[in-house]
Amino acid sequence: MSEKKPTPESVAQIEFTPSKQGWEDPKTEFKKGTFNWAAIQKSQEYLDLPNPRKWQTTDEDWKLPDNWKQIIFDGLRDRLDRFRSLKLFMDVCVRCGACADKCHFFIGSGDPKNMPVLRAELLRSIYRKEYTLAGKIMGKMAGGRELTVDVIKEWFYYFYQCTECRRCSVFCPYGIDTAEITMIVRELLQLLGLGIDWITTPAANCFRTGNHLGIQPHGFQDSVDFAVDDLQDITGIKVDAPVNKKGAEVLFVVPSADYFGDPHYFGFLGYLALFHEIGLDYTLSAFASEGGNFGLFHSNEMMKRLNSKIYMEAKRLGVKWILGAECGHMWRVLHQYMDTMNGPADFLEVPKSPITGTVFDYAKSTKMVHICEFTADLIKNNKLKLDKSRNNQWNVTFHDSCNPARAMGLLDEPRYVIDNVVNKFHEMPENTIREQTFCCGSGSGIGTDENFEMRMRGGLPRANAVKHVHEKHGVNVLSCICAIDKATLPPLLEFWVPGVEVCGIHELVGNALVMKGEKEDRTDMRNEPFITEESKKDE
Amino acid sequence: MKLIEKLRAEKAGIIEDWQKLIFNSYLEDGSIFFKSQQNKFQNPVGHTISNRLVTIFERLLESSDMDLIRTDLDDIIHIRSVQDFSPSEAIGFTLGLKGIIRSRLSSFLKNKSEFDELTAFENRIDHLSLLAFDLYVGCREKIYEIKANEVKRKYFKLLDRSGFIDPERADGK
Repeated sequence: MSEKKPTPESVAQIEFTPSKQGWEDPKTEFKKGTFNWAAIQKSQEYLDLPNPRKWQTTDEDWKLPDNWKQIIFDGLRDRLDRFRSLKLFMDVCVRCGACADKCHFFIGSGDPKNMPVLRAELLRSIYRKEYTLAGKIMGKMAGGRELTVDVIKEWFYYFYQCTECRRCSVFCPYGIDTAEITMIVRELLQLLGLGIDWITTPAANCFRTGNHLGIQPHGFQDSVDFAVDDLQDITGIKVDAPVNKKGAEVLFVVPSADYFGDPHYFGFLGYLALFHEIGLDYTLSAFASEGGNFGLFHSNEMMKRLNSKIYMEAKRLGVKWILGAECGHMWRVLHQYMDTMNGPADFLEVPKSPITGTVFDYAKSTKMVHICEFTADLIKNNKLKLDKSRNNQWNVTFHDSCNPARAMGLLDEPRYVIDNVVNKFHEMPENTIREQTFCCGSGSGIGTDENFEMRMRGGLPRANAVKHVHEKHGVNVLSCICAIDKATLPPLLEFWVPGVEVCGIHELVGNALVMKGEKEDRTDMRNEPFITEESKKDE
Repeated sequence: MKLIEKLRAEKAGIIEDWQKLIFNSYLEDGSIFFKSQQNKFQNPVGHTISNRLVTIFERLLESSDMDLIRTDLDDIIHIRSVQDFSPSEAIGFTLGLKGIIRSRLSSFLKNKSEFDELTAFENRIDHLSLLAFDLYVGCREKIYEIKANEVKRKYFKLLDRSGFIDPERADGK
């Protein structure tokens, strides 16, 4: 009984304010719900990654190689020499603060290390200490920090919180792209074998089977057959959905979630219905069965490795050009990197719509067209019979997915398509859409179960804008064109804005599409009856 | 109810202290941002907390009916239930109101009748705290429900595709 009995006053003393802590202190607490599980050894080995071993984020000892410090310094030096952008980003920031309050994770959590400027500083401070004269001489006074194991853990925590959405870069007067800083730090972490499982295992699957889910060619064929059957149940029409058809005009590439996840699948049915109706000569590939690329969240080299199958399959199948489905980061890779990584695709032709004759000049180098541009062109040229009232069950808003919006400027085509297939549409407030769109909070490979609370924090600004149009206009569905959005926005909205669902744009297109020979009692892509004036009266 | 009148007169100051108390529970840069950014879409946390605290306090003055407060309190609790707080830190701001009132009204609280009135009002704050506890637990339950449902949906789909699910169930009937 040596402990002193607490007095009533001391028990009643509740501390409401956290203790002050300088940002330089790298100590990070890995609280359940906020971080991601470590990559499993099997997947690390499959991809020949460095330092494969059994380890877990919650372990005290992360089993780093003995010369881990040297590996980081060499890795950083190498990247500073190779990428002039990185060198500029390290030197040019004046800490003006324009980016500070633009990150959805900072807005939702208030954690200062989620301010893009400070997140970048976590690397910049090490760079300064090791590679600048001022930092070498003056150390902390010049903003330098010592590289320690705690810094590595801090990097792991915060750079697997950035979703590489690039909202902050829209506001940076110097054009610093914090997403690229995140990419470099993740590459450095990978040199020590510090990856997360939700990125590494899908990447390993993709390297083995062509898609993140690890679905083999016969499984892919089964999934497509399943969709053809479902679409027949819905419309009464048996469509042809060719797989690995040599000599087709167009190769169609989708993210794997489209043929496996909900609500993606309803959009997949929409594509099949659309292609049937216009008589497109196309093929899917059981090997290029994934447009998404988790290599992007891993390293430059891994992205290239996983992307190579797309041009290879286009060549093998002898198509003229490539069409790509609704996906987010897939388009960052295809639109911005594929051409120089695995191109030039001079064996393909400049994409030209066989239905309208429109030449897609913007894709004359990559040879790959976004489905929204393709469909918008069909609508513009009056090639589709559309009945907007078939989407009357939906009151729609549109979430600009970060990558199509900010990485390829696809802002108006999706809206044009929506405008032609639905009667009820309301935009969210202007500082939350288009270039300024808020991320779903789960992109770049961190949409996992284990960091659910962190995702809810990061997704709050998006959900808050949805809540506004839900309450003001009765919006009941959030449409989007990204597979990760479609997977992670439903739980986000279930938590923040119950009553709002998520759909892809081509689900809405599939609903509105009047097909020749469709059965009288055809339903929507979810196999629900259309809401007609008569059905309203019945209610 | 002299106390209620006094609280009404001191409302602005009390709410200001209460907002400060809750915002100070965040790290400094976060706290500054939550307090200063006025646009509700750029700052949903700050905006929600500031506005809901005003409504909650006004309703506390009017009535002890906690149903009138539920929605506003829930908006705040939703946010704090997923932020970097322990359960007690997440809802502790409700109890903090007691200290603020005692300190703001120290010159007024002289004799037993005033303290009796204060005790009655503090009873409402206790109920507010209990409601916050219920709502917090509700949020945490929701999180685990969503997570569990995600896993169930995934496996249901697999089994459905493999033909192990009765067609009626697969249709959600």
